[in-house]
Amino acid sequence: MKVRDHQTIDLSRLYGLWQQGDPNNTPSDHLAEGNNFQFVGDDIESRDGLGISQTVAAPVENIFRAYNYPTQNANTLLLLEWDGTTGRIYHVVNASTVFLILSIVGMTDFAFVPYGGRAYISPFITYDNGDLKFQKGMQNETLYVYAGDGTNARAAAGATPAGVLTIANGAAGNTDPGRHVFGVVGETDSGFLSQPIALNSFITLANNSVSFNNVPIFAGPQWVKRHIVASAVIPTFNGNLEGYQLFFIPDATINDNVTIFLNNISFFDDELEEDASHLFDNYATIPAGAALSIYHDRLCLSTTYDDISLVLISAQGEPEAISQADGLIIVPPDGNPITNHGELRDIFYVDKRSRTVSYIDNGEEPSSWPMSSVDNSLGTSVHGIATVLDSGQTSSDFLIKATYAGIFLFNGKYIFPSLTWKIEGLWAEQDRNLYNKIQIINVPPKKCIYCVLPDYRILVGNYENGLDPKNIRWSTFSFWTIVNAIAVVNIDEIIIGCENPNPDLF
Amino acid sequence: MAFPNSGQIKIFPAGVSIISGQWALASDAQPQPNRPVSDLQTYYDARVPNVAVAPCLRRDTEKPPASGVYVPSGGVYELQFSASTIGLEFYDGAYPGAVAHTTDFIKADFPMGMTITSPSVWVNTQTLFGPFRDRNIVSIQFKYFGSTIATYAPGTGLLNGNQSSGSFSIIPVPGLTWSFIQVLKTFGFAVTCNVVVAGTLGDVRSINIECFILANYNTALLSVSTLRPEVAPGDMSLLESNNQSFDVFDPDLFQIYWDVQPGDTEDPEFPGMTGGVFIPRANIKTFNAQFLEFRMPTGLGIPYGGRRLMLVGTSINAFFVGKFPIQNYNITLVDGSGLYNLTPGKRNDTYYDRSSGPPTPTVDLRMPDPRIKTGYFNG
Repeated sequence: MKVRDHQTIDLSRLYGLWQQGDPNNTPSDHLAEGNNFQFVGDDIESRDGLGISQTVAAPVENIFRAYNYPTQNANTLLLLEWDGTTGRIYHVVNASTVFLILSIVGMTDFAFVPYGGRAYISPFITYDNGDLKFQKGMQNETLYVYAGDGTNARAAAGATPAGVLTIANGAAGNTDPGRHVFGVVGETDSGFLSQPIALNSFITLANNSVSFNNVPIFAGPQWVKRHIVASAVIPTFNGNLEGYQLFFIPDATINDNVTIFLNNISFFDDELEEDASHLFDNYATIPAGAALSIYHDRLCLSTTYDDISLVLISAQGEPEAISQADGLIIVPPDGNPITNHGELRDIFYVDKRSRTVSYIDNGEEPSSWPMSSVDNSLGTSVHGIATVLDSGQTSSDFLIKATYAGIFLFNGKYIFPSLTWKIEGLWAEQDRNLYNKIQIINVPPKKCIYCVLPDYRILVGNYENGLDPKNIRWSTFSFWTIVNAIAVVNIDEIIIGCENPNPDLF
Repeated sequence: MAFPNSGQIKIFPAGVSIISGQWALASDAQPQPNRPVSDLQTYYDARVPNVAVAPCLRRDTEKPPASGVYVPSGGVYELQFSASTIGLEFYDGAYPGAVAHTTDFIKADFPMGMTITSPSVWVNTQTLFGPFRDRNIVSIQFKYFGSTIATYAPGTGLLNGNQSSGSFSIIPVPGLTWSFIQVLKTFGFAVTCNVVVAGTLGDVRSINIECFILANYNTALLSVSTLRPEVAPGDMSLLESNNQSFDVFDPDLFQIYWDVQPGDTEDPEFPGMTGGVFIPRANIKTFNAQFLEFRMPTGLGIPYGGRRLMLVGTSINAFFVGKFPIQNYNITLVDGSGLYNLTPGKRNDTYYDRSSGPPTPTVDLRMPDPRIKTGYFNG
């Protein structure tokens, strides 16, 4: 035995964890085991240490969920704190500023999407269906909207008051003479327009304007405007006030929620261009769902308590205006709930846990959008689509999705093999009933993907060498506490939300 | 064979250089708890050329924060070898004379963490001169701290007749574990080569015995900075409380019992304690004036919600003699929940400690053992 006839094995480059098949077959340039290490160029070193992120006297505790929340002027966070009974959502503006914005008994998770500086929040929880656990919106709960200013979040959309508009001829002016139907549309600070209310008809005169009284006052400080809507002249009125197309009268707006009259409004029928009739069909109360996304400037909400295959899609630019008639798409029911959705290259992809379909906005109402099947075996979980940087959104030229088969690049199809091909064993060990724990962020400045695993560790994929199954280098992080959520602020600051350790886990 | 220094340990892996990240580059070499810098050079022999080193887990200058409880993080770099053979060469210098010859190799600085699974010995007597150079050798005994672990007898072993070298397997003596981890922790490492001769060896000018203990490695674990026991789920830390100081106790003599009950009347040596589970010494990871860290015995679960812990110690400064209970603790897992960030360059973890406050204090802890373990080489 020539003990000295050795040859050097170069360990200067190690390509991260390899947990696939027989451990004895781990390539010599990979790691059979490892934890709490990270890559610095070609080197390996201990991971970065954990530091506290809040300096307030009573930091938010027992965090179950965290999201990036870009407001109009800052990149902030939304956190869900759970005390065993009540879920509380906090808006963490910075290390020393935090607002409690929403408390709901039983809320253990929530969906979120930012829009126009506001936050849309949908509480959901996990339900049991036999051995299967799945997520859907909380019963009797609604979509919430938060203005981002520290005030309480409120239910999106809004209920309308009763009342009947009083209409009279005004001062000298002009209208197309004849019977019109008039009504009132309320507007909230988030731009939501109510359905027309207080409908009444009135015969206008050619040389007079119109005056309105008893304009209903809406309940709640979120109502900031009211608009008068009207039909064109009705040659033969059938008495059905809701049977005619209504339009916004130009400049017929009360810019408060106090004044009950608006006098001397002149208009001609050909000025009535902005349709308000569709508002009759809008949800006054939008049910809570398990997933939120934005597609073509529309808010998309899915997986309500009553229908796990339904996606509610708002009017373009009006995130709270969702038509109950044609603002809906139904993914073919198969017993599995919709888990997630998002836009990629103008296509709206909807996921279930093991299925992906797509829809294309054809310019018509959402209910008419054609569906295509993308993959009948792979889908993702409620937080399984990676958000990019601190945008809080999934938009990118590709999506990174966590599926039962691993983490995949998705560019309209799932690119095989998965990014986690080298650690298929580790991925297979994860409890599928806890896939709702998975939350992924993609941080290009660090060239890293961070994924919270169901076993409460963080899986880190370093793609400095390339974002492909071969070159990505995997490691895991663990802590003396339980990781539930992950987010990014300030481009590349990794934020981790932790739960009070549950002794049953050890 | 020519060796520059007598009595040194040299490491020659067959097929692979085991000089890898754990000792780092010379410029990175730092004094380690068990290995002075001067020893590092031993392993950088010119005959192991072109070693490519991955600077691994190089947290070499841990600095505690200004306040708070802190344990350095360290890290473990674990290399796996399979099928490959690593030669641990023990070289005894020229020995004149024709009498029984005994050489001890005791090396406290032997690399830690190796587990030998199939050791063998290679003997070279080629420097023994004379016509009866081998025939007069009755046996060569290999002893391990006085216990014979193997014997070579000419004519029966591989070293036969006038052969000048050969090898044979060492059959471990029952009760002796060839675990160098254990060896290091307790005794150092020792092998005795006892050459028993019949009469005299004619015309003997020197005996040069070179022993290669060749070991197939299932797992070779090489420490980067400090060897740490495996961290298993259930580890916990107890912080000093009630101004109780541990440092009056001999850290080698204290005992820990968990889940004891007060009011014991059966054992007067431990008043106030009954029942309880002894925490083995091996489960204690850290014990100093500020910090006690140990691993719960398996199968006991976690004493969440408060259990009693009793320390039984012996003074080292004559305050008292014997053992007695020094403290009962209510054990609770600290609620460290909250919002954190990964801080580049930070070398330990800082957690909220929600056992008091507001304001909520924080505690510095080492991060759970950072470690990596390679795949098998030449497996």
